Amino acid sequence: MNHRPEQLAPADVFYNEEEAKKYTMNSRMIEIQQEITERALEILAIPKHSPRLLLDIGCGSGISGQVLSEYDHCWVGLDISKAMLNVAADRDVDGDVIHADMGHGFGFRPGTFDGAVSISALQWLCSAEMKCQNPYKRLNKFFSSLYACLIKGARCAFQFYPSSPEQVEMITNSAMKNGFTGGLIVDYPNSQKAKKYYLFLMAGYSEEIMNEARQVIMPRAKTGDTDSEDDSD
Amino acid sequence: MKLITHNILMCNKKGCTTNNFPLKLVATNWKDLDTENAQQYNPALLQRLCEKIEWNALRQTVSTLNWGVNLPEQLSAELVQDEAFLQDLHLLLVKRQIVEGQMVCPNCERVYEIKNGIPNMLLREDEV
Ligand SMILES: [Zn+2]
Repeated sequence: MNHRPEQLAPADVFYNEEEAKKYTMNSRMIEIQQEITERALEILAIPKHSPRLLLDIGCGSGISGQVLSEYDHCWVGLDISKAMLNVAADRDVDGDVIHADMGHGFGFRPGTFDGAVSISALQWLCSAEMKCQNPYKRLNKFFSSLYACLIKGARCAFQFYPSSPEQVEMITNSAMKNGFTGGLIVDYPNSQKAKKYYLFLMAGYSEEIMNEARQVIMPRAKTGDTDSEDDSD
Repeated sequence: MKLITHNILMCNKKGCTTNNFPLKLVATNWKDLDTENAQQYNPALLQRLCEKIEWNALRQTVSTLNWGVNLPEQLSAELVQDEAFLQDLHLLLVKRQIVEGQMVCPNCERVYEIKNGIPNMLLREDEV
């Protein structure tokens, strides 16, 4: 049985040097992260050969970022775990990584990013890292500053591991309150192991982006069998 | 940290909402990533980034870095189509990495350190 790491310790404590090393050397883990990132890109529906500027929230050691780079996108990642970021830096990932807490919101110039991805990170926002922190406030801060730094109509795909239906509601409510539209996409809903939750968001409406996306793919949940066997955070 | 990132970062400290961009950049150590390690030159990507850059902020920052780089006063539509210009911009924005240094908010003077190429934008709880 998996212990949920976000219930054991705050992210910056949990992903210490040792955990960061373990995490980046586990090839199955890397493979899953890559698959999820590919799926997130599918949901962003960026046309082929159209490199963009993307934000990677909870970028960790840059495994997801490397997939973004393979598609020629430029990316900026943020994470609260310095140990994970050091691994990213030592591997000379193509994107830039920033040490920051997503629950504090971010100081990016308004209207810059073309889209955002987040792989297995959103659930950390709901567990207060310190006694003085309020998860509702952190979620609000996160979504309001995210909305501000995206271009109009930008799409986001956030894969996460919700601990309960209430948590999903808490996250989506906060996103909608801050101007996003979209909803939850559940891939392989009938497979206990392969089931994956994606929060799909759009920052307002842009006809151009809408048309581009239609030409690529409409986000639809995946169903049926999969060869993805295990589930991990 | 690359200059493209510096060009979109603002001070995020509580109450600091005006004149908080661009952060004054001091680069004490920097390196050019070699071709295998850097993002590949891609004119379409650079053209996309050109749409986003605050040109005056970039010019101002580069002029303080003593890198011997002189940027044109304006980013014209012709320049964005110019191969040699885009190559130079690729080196400046994407390949050159600031390894150690700091950024200072022009408004509240909050200092953000850059170590091992990673800017520390983490705020204290009372700064949020
Ligand atoms: Zn400031």
